[in-house]
Amino acid sequence: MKTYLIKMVLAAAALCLVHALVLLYVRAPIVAEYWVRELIELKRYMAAKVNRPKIIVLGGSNVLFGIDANSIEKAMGNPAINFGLHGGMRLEDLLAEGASAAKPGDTIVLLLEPIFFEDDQSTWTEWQLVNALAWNRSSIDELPLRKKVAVFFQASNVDLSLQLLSTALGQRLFPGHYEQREQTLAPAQVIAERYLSGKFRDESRVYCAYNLDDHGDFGELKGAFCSSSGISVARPSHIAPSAKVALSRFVSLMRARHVRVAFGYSPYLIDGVDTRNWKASESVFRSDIDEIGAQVIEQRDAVFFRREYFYNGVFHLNSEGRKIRTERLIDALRRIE
Amino acid sequence: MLFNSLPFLLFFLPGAFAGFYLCARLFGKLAIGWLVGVSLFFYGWWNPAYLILLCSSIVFNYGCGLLILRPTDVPRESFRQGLLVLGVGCNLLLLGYYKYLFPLLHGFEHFGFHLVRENASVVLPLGISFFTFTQIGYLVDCKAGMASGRRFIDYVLFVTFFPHLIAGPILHQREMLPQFSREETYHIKAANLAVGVSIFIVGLAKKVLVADSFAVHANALFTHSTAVHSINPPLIVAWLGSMSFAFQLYFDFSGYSDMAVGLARMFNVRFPANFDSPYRSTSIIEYWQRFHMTLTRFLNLYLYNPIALWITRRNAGKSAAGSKGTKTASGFASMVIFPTFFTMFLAGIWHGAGLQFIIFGVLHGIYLSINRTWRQLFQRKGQPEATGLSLWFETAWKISLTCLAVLIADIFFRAQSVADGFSILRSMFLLNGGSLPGNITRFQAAFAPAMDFPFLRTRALISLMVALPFVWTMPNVLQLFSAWEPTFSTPRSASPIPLKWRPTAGWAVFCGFLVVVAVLEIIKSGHASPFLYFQF
Repeated sequence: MKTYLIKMVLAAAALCLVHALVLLYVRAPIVAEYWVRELIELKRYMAAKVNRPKIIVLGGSNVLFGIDANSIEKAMGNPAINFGLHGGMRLEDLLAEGASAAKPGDTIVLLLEPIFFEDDQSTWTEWQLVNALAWNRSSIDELPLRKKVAVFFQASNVDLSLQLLSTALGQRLFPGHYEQREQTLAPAQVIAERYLSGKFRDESRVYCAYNLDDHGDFGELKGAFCSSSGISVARPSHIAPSAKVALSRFVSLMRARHVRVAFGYSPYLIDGVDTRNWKASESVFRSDIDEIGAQVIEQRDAVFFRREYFYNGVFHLNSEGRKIRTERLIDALRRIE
Repeated sequence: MLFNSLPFLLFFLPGAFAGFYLCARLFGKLAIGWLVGVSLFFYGWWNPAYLILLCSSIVFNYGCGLLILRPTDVPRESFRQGLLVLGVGCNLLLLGYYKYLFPLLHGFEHFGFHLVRENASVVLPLGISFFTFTQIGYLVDCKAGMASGRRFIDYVLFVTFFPHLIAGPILHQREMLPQFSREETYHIKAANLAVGVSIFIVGLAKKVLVADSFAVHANALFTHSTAVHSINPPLIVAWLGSMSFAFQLYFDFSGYSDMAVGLARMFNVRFPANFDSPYRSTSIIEYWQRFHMTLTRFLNLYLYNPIALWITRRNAGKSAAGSKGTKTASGFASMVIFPTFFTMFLAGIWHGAGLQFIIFGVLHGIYLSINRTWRQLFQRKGQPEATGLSLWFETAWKISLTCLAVLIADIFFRAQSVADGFSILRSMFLLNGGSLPGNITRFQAAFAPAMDFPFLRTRALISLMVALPFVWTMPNVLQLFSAWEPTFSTPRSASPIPLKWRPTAGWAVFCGFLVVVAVLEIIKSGHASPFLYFQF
């Protein structure tokens, strides 16, 4: 029986080792959200095209769905870019995208989902690891070995190793099956050309980067399909220490580059949610943002919406919601001009 | 602290184990004190304030037990009876206060009576239903002469021993404490350790890898029901979601029970069986003999039997007809149906404070009554038994019918309200206005994050297709480890697949892999998901 127990421990250790080695060395186009990679490339491309001081509205998918940069541009007289990406991204990466898109004289409006302010930024989520392995391998490769291993054991399970192995095998046996995923890894220039050709638009899918207009906005989002419960209006409140550090660093960097940074909110679905307790947490949040050296340009209740304005998730407004939300952001921007 | 949490797995369990055997080596049977200490720490981890409640309850019940057990001629029978009533009454009052008072008072708000502040409530202490029931059983056993007076420390260990403290099994004193009187309990036994660790790992995997996966699909249905939105779940979502919950419950409770058995075994202690493949039952009566077995035993011993006995005596005393027992319709109704119904009604209430739990209990009461009536009317001894294919069909039909009945009741176990439960039921049986395919796309788009993408719906379907044959054919822990007598009882039947655990390299590798996969899953999810019978 003692031998049995020893063998069990050895087997467990061996599996851990194999898992780490597979994640370290096997490269294969596993199932992931490759469209986010295309989305990032296209947003970079759109921002780079603009040579005048511009307004960059940066955030997760709440910006993608809920902001109409065209309307902001018309109302404010400055070019505007919808830099909505994905709420699952690491805050560091999202801010890096904003920083690389900004030029002196620009304004960055950060409309981040509450989770960006609350999560410990030193840990990775499964989504972040899977997508990094799939289309952003360099973000893993840059990490020191100890951190890499920590990330692997923090954010993945053995099924990810199996997926990498089976995909690597599948890629050798049926290369055609993985072509579409590999296409999304094309150089930025190629992705921009595909976008300009218009041939890659796919109206049947919502989540297609090539459906964006030249401001980074989505087209029509008709209907209200969200039945999830809204998040608490008391979120965000205190900013998590690691998030605060990342945001402070970003604001300082932008200030040094003469880029103004302002904060707003992602929309709140208020049906069935107690909406009485937002003021106290907002004041805590505002004071944290003050400490960072930026300002919050809108009141939280300006982005309280009823269910009929949400498209397919608690952060995703439909066209009607987007119109109202954008108007409110324009009002806020006018106030700080 | 949860069995599937990292602090438990990485620190508490190794510490408790090593400390126990170290204390045993140094101080012999005083190591019981160590187990009591770590068990109280285990309980207090959740909320140290409730340790006072647990300790007060233990002191009170121990005191009552001592008084009931006093072997003198002074305390008369009526005095002991009175003490028992007082003890049981106080336990029920405690349970009632924490579990039912505020939901009940809030219930009056529907009739316009605002008796408490809008959000007034009280936090339900962890495991209160279980440690209260354990101690009620102890008091009744004291009165019946089936429990012996023990040292206070022994009694505390009996109530708080951490493998059963939070969610059972509900034990008798005579089952556990004699095991701590044996000398060999205080020495590490490699065989018990290997068996205990292996059973624990199987349970952990069931909970973390299977039950929690089903939870995703079940939650998609049950947390987004009519209360939030006016969309009725479409047929396929209602079936997939409710079946997912049935399997979540199955693997969650099975996993918990295995872990409890495995943990106890690591300390050279055996528990009674609490779970024996209930979805293989061919009747509801059998289902309750296989599911939450120690709760069924408790309800039978301390509720059903006394009621049935009281009615029998009353009927016998009343008339000659009464002495015919269950042979007459009225006798059968009063001596079988009424106690069954009443017991299951209370079992429903025990499961939670809400009308939906009463419906859950009443449904099982109805099922059991029908089952008993059927047996009384149609099952005759000496009937030729079906064989071959007809036996297979008969068994399949009985199992399917039992599972369907359980599935329907389980909807009310999980639904947030009675309205939600009925809404799901209507959808399952196409009574919601015929939203068969029309709503699916709309509902699918709406159900974030679980069911809104087709591949997840497909995953739910595939999981169910794998789980069904698994629970019907694969051996459970009682069968898998039968050679090592994991519990007091033997499994009710043999498994169709006669797989047996042995201390071989293959099983060592399998269990080693399983624990890594389960632990990585816990780390990845960032938290340990509570058991369904947690905070009960």
